[in-house]
Amino acid sequence: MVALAVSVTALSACSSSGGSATPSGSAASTPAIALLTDTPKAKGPIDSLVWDLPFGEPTSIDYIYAADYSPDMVVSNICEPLLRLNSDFTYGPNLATSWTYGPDKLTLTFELRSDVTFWDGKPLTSEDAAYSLLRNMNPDLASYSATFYANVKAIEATGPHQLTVTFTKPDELFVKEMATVAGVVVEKAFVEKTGKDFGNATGGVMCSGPFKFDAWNAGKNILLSANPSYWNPDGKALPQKVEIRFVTDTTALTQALKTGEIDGAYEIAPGQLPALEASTTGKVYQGKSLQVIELVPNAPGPAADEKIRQALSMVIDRAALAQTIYHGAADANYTLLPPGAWDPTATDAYQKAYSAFEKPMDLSAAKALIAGNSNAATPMTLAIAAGNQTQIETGALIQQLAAQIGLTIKIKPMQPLEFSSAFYDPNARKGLDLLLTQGFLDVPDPLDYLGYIVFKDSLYNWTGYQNPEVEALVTEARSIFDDPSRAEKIIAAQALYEPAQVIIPMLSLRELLYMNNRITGATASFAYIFQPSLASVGSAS
Amino acid sequence: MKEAPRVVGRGLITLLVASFVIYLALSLAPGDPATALAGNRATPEQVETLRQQLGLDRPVVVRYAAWLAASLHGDLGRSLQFRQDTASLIEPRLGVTFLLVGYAFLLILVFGIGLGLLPSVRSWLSWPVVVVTALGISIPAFVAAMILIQVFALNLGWFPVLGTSNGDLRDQLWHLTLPAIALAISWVAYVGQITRASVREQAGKEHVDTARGRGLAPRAIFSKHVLRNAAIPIITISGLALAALVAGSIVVETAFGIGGIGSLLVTSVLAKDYDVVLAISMIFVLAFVVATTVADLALVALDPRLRSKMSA
Repeated sequence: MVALAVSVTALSACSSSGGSATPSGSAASTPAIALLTDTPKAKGPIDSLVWDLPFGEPTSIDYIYAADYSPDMVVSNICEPLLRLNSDFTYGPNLATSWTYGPDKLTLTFELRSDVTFWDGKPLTSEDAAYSLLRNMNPDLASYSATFYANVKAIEATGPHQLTVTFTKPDELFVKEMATVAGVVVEKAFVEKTGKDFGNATGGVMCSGPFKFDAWNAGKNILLSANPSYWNPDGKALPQKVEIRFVTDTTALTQALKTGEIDGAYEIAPGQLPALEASTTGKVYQGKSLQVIELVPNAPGPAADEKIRQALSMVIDRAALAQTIYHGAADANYTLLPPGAWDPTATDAYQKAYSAFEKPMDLSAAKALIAGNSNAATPMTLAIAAGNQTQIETGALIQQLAAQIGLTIKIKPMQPLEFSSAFYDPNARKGLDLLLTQGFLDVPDPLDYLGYIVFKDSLYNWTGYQNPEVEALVTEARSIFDDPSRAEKIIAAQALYEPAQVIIPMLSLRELLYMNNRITGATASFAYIFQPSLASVGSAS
Repeated sequence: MKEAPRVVGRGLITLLVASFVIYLALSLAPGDPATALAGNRATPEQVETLRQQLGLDRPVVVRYAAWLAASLHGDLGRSLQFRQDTASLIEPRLGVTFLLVGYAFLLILVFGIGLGLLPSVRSWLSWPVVVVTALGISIPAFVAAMILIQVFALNLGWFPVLGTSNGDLRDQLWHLTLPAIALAISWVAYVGQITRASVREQAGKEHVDTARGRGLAPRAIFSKHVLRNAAIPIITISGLALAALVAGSIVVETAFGIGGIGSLLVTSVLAKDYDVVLAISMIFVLAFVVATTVADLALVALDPRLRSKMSA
């Protein structure tokens, strides 16, 4: 599973991308239905809940190895981070009641709750918190969240319930990540006791969340039960027992959802949308999301040529792609930063800048752009994930559209590991010109995403794109804590990097949630991934 | 049981050769497990460090030798993707796969042989049996799975869509009925055809005519002279069927969302999770060796001529 993961926090306004332009003239870019953040509130508790993870069994439930759909979702239902990510992507108190920066923004002090206990009854202390956060910085453990700690100098327990983080340079992003798995606190003594089995099916975890971890039956299910001594009376788990299943076969999952054998699931495959919308036993909810579909170009080869990338971007009929292949569960996206990634207090500025890039498909302009260009004659190879029906169809559409301006694209389906290797190993992506990928931002903040792409040495900058001005603007922005001022820098950088199409943006995805009619209350937005999203699921009547 | 050491030795050599071939093939498949394991935010340097930590930078023969030495000491290694001991990962999944395979095998024996014997009881059934078995053989397991789910789970609601159960054995069997039928269906048809042909051939043999001429009761002729000899190809094919069912479980487990070792093998191969792939493959090879060996021994017990050949 390849995900360009990123992070941000608060976005309330806009995930339905503006909608002023009608890109291809064929379908409006405005969503037909309002995108949700929550589903109707539950009326009461339920005895049991069966939930599925369409991305399959998590490989670990140790929070430091969670950076993908399944592990993130399970970890967030049982373990708690310092802050809480709300359904509208704003963040607020959780294990920490307050967080205060020092005058130079080089220290950040969290005051922790004193009434939180782990499932085994032991109190949660700042010692546990410091230990848990520091695990992310231990090179031997290779935490998936290590990158968010890049500017951290030290983390110390400065009181029984006080935690202080010191930075090497101001970092506005860090605190937002504390509302994701990167800020989770677990019991220190338990980690030390279980050792290398912490977080696997044998060792389990010890946390403080609304659900207790009961068992992980490898290959079959993960069993949770309501935590009777949960500290937050408003957040107590409504389902008394939860069984989490790992059915990945989309047909089997759809059928099991229809018969009610499985009560609900996030990340419904867009291809299953028609079948599930016709279901009489449950309902599909479309929520705000931070997921994107994009093409990552790779050099050498034609994709290294900026003009070729621009021409290709101009012929992609994003609205048609969203309507026909994603069954309307996606929206056209025209910039590297999807509208969902904008800071909530600066959306007007971002929207204005975005409109300049929101251009309808233009065949003749694209043709003119590459007329006489010798690179246009060289066929390109587009890598997709083998067996993923949505990607196969998307690849075929891109191939067909590119052919209209004389660009030849060959599709190469790759097995999951081969495909994911291609994202990290230059040798593994030799011979590939474009890689089709689905990624997501953790929290709505443009910065983290940009860090992965627009720097000369960025993980996903494979075309050698380099612009010192862009790097200076983005670096400076990370030290600016005021959203509108930071947006100015980012928008200035965007004007410079966007024409280069370092990544070719295509779609913002919507979160697709299915719930049986007997239940309601699950988070509808993609924020579910870092929330105890199943705790609020209860009886619909 | 003079031949026992030879049988065991043959099995061990099969395991050894198979393990090496599988290890080598897996190492040649594209993709690097370290990249997946390092997470999607790792730098190339972090991936390289992890590769060294896991010993993936060593030559394949060295890694295989280390795996072999450890396995001989009963250490099946550790899953790369699940960060867990292989044995504890596989053990809870073995039960459901064995139950599924056992259930399917029982269906094959009962319905396959039953189907094949029908024409000898009622001769007008000969033609329908030929048609039904010819159809059955040509149905792949995943197609059977789709049809069975549609008809018996969705339309009629007699059985659940998914094969996973949290209940007692009875509930488990109820959940595994459709998967077992999907897995068994083409083998039921095959065993049915073999049985029919074999019984027919034996019934036309001279010694059966002789027995008839001597005025023996038809029932005695059938059980003593026809069935006993007809059983030889049936047992051989059943042994093969059992071995094939274990491998066939991969498809059926995926279609019915069953977390057995078949579906684990698929994800492990895709993730190049060496130790897990090897452990499951060895179980499959072992199942094959055991099933064919048991079939061989059963034949020996049944046919005195083979007994003298084997000890010669």
